[in-house]
Amino acid sequence: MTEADEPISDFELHAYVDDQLDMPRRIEVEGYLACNPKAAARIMADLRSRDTLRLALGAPPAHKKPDTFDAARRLERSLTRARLGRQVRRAATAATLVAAGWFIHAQLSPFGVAESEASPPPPAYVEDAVQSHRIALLRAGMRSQIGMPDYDREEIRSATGVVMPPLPRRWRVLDVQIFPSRDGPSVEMAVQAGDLGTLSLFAVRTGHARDVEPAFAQIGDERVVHWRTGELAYALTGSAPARNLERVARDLADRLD
Amino acid sequence: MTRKAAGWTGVDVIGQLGALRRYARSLTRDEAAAEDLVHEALARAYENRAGFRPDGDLRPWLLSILHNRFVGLWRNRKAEQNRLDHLAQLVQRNNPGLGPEATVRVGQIYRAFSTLPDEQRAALHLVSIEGLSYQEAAAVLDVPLGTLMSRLGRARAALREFEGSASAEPRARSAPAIERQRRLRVVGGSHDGSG
Repeated sequence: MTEADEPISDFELHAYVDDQLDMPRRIEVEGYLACNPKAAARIMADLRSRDTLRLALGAPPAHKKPDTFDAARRLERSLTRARLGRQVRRAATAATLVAAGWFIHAQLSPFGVAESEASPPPPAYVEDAVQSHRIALLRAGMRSQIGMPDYDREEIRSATGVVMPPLPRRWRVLDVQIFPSRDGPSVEMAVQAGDLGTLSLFAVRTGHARDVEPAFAQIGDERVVHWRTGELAYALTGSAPARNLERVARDLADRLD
Repeated sequence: MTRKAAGWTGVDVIGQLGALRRYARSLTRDEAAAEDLVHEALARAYENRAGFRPDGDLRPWLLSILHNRFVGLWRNRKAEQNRLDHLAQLVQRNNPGLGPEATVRVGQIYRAFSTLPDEQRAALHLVSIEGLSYQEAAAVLDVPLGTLMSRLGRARAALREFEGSASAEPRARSAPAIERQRRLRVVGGSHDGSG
């Protein structure tokens, strides 16, 4: 055993103890230690302290409070949603490209509202709502993209400033997502609403307060009822008959009060 | 403990609780205070959640928030001496299989660790216990790599010093004792008669 060609630095002796050297350099350090009993004794003492500390401190503390777990879960959900939001935005770009194909086919305005039916054009956020609904349906068809079916109205409110209504008891929440939209974060929720099929409820905080009664719009294959309560704008999207959709929308609007 | 990631590609905060609690305990030297610190750090992380890069590494991010929280608010809340006295029990509880002499030794080294300055304790914990790379640990502590290394060096020197003085006498006995214990476990009744 010969001494290493390159001198061994103090940094490398630490890195040896902390297992942060690659194998060839480890072997060189070991060659050096084999010839230097003093340095070797020091390293062994450091390894011994390290292992003893690992023994003493490796186990997590036993003192635990449920609050801490709740705080961790809240953070986890929020970070997961942010990450999903990013991924969905990427998917949304793809979806927009697909959609663009349809639109070119259907010509004219990107969201080919049947002009005769919708005298004033629907507000801009309704486009976002429909886009979100389409993505929700897309996601529902992809098994890997499992949503997060927890529906915590209070958490949504504190995270986004958007108030969501309590839902009819028989509805099943399929997915809750926070989406970026032109007016700030929006909430998109997909529900299984019995006979009405899959509906999406979209809500976004707008910059100014205004109450608007529920109004109907047909956008592509989707039917939308949209309304506003103060600063919040809502859109209920689905393929159920217009009259049913409007009835449900009015019911949800009432639940918001 | 590994958990299945939540949803599509979830962010696993709950899986980091162990590391956060361990680090908080090394900083505060008190289990109850550590839990409070972890809770505060999580609340802080939630407030600053926009600062987390979605493709970033969660553990260093959380550890650094916890560290800043400690430096900002906790450093001056001194650990009381009587808290340190509970540590021997803690060590025993965590390692029920340890022989009495080894337990004493572990307690001693923990005591030496506890009396290190905060910066040195933090550096040694992140590298030795959590196994962070030097770069990651320096980023958590927000110091240059050289500063991290010198803290690590001083911490190790202090522990070595402690080994040299405090355990010079018992060391001669405890090492063969541990060795004997280990052999007994493997060979069964066989005894070499030493000690």
